[in-house]
Amino acid sequence: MNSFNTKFLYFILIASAINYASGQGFQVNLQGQKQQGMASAGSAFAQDESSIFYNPGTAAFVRPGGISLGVTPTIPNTAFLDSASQTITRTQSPIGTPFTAYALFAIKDSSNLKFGIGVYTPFGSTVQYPKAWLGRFAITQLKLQTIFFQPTITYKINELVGLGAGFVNAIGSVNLQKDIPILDSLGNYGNAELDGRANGYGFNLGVYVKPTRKLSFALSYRSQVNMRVKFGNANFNVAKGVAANFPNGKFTATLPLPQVITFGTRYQVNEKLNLVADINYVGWKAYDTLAFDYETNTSSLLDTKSPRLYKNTFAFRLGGQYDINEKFQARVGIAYGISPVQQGYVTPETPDGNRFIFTGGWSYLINQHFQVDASIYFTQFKREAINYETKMSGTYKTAVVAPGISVRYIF
Amino acid sequence: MEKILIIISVLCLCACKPKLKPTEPKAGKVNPNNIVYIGTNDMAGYSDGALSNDGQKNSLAYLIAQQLKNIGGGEITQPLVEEFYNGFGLSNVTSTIVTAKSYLSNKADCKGVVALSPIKPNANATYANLRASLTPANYNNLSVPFAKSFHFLQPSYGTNTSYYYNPFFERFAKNKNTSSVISDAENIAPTFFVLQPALYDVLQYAMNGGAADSITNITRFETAIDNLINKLTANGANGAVINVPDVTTFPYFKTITYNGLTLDSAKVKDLTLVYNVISSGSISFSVGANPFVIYDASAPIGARQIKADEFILLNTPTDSLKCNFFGSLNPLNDRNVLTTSEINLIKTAITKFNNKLKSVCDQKNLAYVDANSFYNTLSGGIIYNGVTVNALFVKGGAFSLDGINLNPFGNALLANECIKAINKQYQSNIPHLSATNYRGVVFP
Repeated sequence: MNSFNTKFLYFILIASAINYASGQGFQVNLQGQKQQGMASAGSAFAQDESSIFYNPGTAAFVRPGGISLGVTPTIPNTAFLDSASQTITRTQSPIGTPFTAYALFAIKDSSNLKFGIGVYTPFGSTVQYPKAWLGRFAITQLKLQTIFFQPTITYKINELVGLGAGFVNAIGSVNLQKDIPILDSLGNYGNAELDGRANGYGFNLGVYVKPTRKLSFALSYRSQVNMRVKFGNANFNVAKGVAANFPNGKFTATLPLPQVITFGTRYQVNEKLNLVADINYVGWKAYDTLAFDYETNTSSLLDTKSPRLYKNTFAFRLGGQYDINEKFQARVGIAYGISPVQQGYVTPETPDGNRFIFTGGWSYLINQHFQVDASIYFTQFKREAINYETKMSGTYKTAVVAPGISVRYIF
Repeated sequence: MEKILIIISVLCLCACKPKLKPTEPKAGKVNPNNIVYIGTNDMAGYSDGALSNDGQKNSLAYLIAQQLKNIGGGEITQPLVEEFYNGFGLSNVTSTIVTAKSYLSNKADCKGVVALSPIKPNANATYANLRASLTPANYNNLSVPFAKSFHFLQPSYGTNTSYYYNPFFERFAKNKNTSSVISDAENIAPTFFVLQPALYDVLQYAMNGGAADSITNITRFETAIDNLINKLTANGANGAVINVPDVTTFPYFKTITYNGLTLDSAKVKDLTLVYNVISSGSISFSVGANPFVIYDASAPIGARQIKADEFILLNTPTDSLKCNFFGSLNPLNDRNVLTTSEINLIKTAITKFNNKLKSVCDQKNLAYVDANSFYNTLSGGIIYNGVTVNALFVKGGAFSLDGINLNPFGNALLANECIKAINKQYQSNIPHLSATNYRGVVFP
């Protein structure tokens, strides 16, 4: 027989690291229970330390400061209906646990200058498909974790204006797995696992304006953070006879977390009722291509460039907070998010779509030093999609429930 | 607090199962009561160079039948080869030497270069085993490897002494002395059929490099198709007819490159010395890649160098090419090569055959499965649920190790083409196979 080389050109790694569950594309807004109760609006509402994330300028008006710790277990479920075979696959993703920790304090009680630190996890979900599902050669599992550390300084210029700035140091990890369409004699397909640690830097700026007691505005800018994986491990497990074509080795990749511009406002209707509205403009266009650069290339293992071609997008958020009494507050919110993922580029790990978000929440002031905040977040969305790269075609439907709780110590 | 917990639980329950509703399967004008499958190798489950139990359980007919179950089609009954046998392979229908199915392994060639190659183990079945009749049953997969259009109509096609005889049919013919494939089919009184009538009408000729066998005469072909279709539709049955692919896209013809004769200056000198005398310059060599030399009666000296658009077949012993001056000092034989004129004969015949099949389908309102278009697309590459497949040998992922027949994954892709055509013709809604559930090439 002719001698065959064992070049398998069809090995194309495609991947993206996205928390599709709790916000369009990467954008997650589960960084404060009070805001979460109002559909993640409230950047212009100076209530607690979580303003460090939502608008560092607003944080200048939070008084007296405090420490808060929160967690929001996120339960995502996606079903995929393959249009050709009419079979349904359900994800087996575990519960995500994004958490928040904030501290905000002034050196002197009377000082207009405050220092703060925010530690939060804008991504923390795992997308996992069942073994041997029909998209196994596109993706079987994507696990992404990130932790942002944001030391912040915020200054109340006068009774009208607050400014704040934070520096973001992001660390994270990514683990991506998929099957390789090479079958061994035991009937097992090959498998690829990319695993790496990533880090990146960014900043968070905000200005807060309060022209009257009843009305306030906020404008914030969170910069793009490029998460770089420098020495990730690429491990391949394929039939022995062709293993030499898939050498284990290092890889590098970069994932952009987009810039976000937020304009927010808060209006106090009366002593008990506050309304908030936020608009986010998210710079998704940065996510143009997902590239993997392997240290060791072979004819079977080429560097890959997968087009993502995301577009910049908006989210609109409305919420209200009602003070039931001195101790209790209740909240509701509704939001509409526009997906950055264009038709043709929807992937099983990002079955993203336009969605409505419904939220509720409450707070209870135990005493002058302790407060408990809780929220619940719900969204469901559907996307009919064909992917140009994998030719997968079908309908994705995702539902997410994220109940969250935080405790707050007030100085 | 309790109320909140209840609300959260309810929300969680709703969210845990996003609901999606698959489209209900629908029979349309397909009557699935009695389905019959008639075809050749792919339909029978001949793959990796032999008919085997494993191949039959992934046959094109079997795979289509699995999906027709969604609209009420019954189980397919196939004349299964005993699992014990490692395959009933024949080089052609008149051969009496049974070979096993191939597997892929690393093997050293004559130069000691180790590479993945199909290996044929010793057969554990004999020709007598192949001929041994199975318990008669109303098999509804009546597909017979190597059968041509007019063979399906031959009475006594399973009789060893017949002029047209096929041992694969002898195995399961209802009456091996009298049955024709079509008479066994009529016996089932089909309400629906899947027919692949004409592959071997060109393929046998092509696989022999045009040196043996012949392409079915068009008149004979048209008569055979009319007869087959008339008999199958006599009681009002609907059906699907699979057309003839351009067989020259198969890896059997495309794997060995025409200019694989790699020469150094010493060899160029030697060969030039030989051919200069006899060819008076019509055959010349240079250092590097050269076209192989083939026998061609129409060439001035009875041999010439092969042209870029001609094919060297996989029946060519490659060790001889590499180490024994086969294709240089010893020209390649007619049976190893398809020349331009042979290729033209094949392509012209395929066009005529498919015109006939299309017009019959139009007349009788049958589903026309354009396998030709499928194989053409395949040779350019198809991406299916994240897997890229093409018509390359072994690495292409769709063909079996014989370079002719598809592997189960390839069969599943072709089965989906059949389902598409049926759905379109009969307003049915038969779901496609999830093709990645079926194996491709197995690597060591």
